[in-house]
Amino acid sequence: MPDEERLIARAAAGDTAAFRRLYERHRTDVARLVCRMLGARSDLDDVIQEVFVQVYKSLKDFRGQSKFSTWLHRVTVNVVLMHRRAARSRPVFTDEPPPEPALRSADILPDEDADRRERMRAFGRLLDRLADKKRIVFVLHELEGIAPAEIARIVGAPVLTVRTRLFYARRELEEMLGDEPSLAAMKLSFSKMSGGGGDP
Amino acid sequence: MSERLGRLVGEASRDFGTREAQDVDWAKVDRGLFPRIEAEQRAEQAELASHGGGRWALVAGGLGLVAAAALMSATTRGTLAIDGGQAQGSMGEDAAGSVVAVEGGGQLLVDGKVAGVGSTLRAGNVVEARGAQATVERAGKLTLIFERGARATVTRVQGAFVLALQSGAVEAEVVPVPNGEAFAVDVGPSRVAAHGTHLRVARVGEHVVVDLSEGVVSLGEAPREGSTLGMLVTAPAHAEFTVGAPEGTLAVTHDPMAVRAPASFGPATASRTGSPPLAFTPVPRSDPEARPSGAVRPEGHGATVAPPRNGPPTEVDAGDAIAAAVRSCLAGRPRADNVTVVVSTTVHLALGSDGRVKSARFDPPVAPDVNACASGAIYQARFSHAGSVDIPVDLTLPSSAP
Repeated sequence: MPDEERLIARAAAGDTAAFRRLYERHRTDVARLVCRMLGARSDLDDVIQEVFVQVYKSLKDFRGQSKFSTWLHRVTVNVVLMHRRAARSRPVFTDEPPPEPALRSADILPDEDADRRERMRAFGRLLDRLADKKRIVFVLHELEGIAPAEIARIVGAPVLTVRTRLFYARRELEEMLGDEPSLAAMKLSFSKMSGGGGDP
Repeated sequence: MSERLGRLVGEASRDFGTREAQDVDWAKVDRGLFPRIEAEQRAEQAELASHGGGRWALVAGGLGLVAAAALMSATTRGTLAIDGGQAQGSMGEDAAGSVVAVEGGGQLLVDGKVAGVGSTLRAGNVVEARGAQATVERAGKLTLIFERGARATVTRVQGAFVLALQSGAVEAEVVPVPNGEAFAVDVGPSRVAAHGTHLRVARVGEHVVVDLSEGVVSLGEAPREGSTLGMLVTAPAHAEFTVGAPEGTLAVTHDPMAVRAPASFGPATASRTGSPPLAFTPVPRSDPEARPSGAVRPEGHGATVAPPRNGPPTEVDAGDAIAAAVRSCLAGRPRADNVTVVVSTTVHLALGSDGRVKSARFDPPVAPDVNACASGAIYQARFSHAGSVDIPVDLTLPSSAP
């Protein structure tokens, strides 16, 4: 039995050490997916924690009929959706600015770094305007690189539905690009980064 | 996909969310996660234990060495926690309270073991009232009844006492606290949080019923920390909702006759008879057992548990009195000397045909303790007309620092 399967079986039987190893192995992937679906938030830790509590509770139901990563993505998506639904019913404290995404890289100049950070913030805002179902398939496919057939298993929808949601998500994002000044001016930024080119 | 979107997506697949994921404070996540995992394990162990030793032995035999060690640790803790002899006079900070009465022919089980008067409840304990009704007291803070058939896990005892109710009903009389929440019942992901009140929370499957005979509760998603931000329900109230979706399913009536009569606590506890069985619709007026003497607020009962109240406003100055009460509650909150507090909110009131307040809502919301503090003045107000009233409340508390 491969190492991961052994860990899953032991964790499902209540072995906390095995569960911890699974958690340490997958937590960064879960955190990235949560960030991509929710944006940079102060309650990120809470959502990640909730994902792994749900993983622990549901592990006994994992039958190995899909890849563990697919199942884990499914749990994560469900927790994120629950979190968004709950958040919609909570008051928003507008005096709390959202945390700035820390997108620094040693190999780019500070002004380019700032441009890039602003582009990512703007991209996050656009993603946030998409309906949940479209945003999820877009994030899973375009950012996480997951094939539509696997996304279909994650979201529990036919592959054709996934492709349709993906199509509309792309189209809506295309239409929204002009709403964000930093993305409207993207040609210049990309030109600076790549040394030329960009959209006509 | 256009070239521009393609480039943006390409950049986002490398950068969007990547650094944030790497910067997560994993130690903080661990501190929250693993105690919850341990609580889950204890609940599972208690569940297995309560379903027969054969099955328990079978499952325990399948566990690894680490799990076995955890089991031994949990079992030891459970034995100590329900040891009445040790509990007497040695209530630590992690104690939720002591069992002061067990009534009826059944048993009170704590983590699957029989518990009796004097037993101490602690965080992580799974409490089952099997055919019995148990009363737990947290001196000076809370009196709590586990009704027959109730099953709940004590999830927190530091600060607020929090129970996760799996089935059945609990009823509590909660002494008000100046700030924050004194007691809360989690039903799935939803929380019923009390600041000082007399309430009963019952659960059957995914259906929850809250009967509130005193004070105010917040109803919303259970937060990891801090106060529950959600809908406020003020006594007298009978509320029903579906687990996990209170905002979409909550139905509340403030008709006193729809509110289940509160149990009597205090000195009468020892001679108290059992509560009527769970009812998930307002008990009809003609049901004498459910409504002894028809009293929703027994005399002399509310004085110790009701939130602070201002004098009842007259018809003329009702709006002003409510605004003054809210400002007073806001001003009474603790704050740092070097902070200037500016609050601007509006109290939206719905009035009944007799001019009394049927419901109140702050927009934007204020802290739950301010809601609780002001509810007395709001619900005692009487206007000379029906309909609705909007009362703006503005307050500036300047910094007292030089």
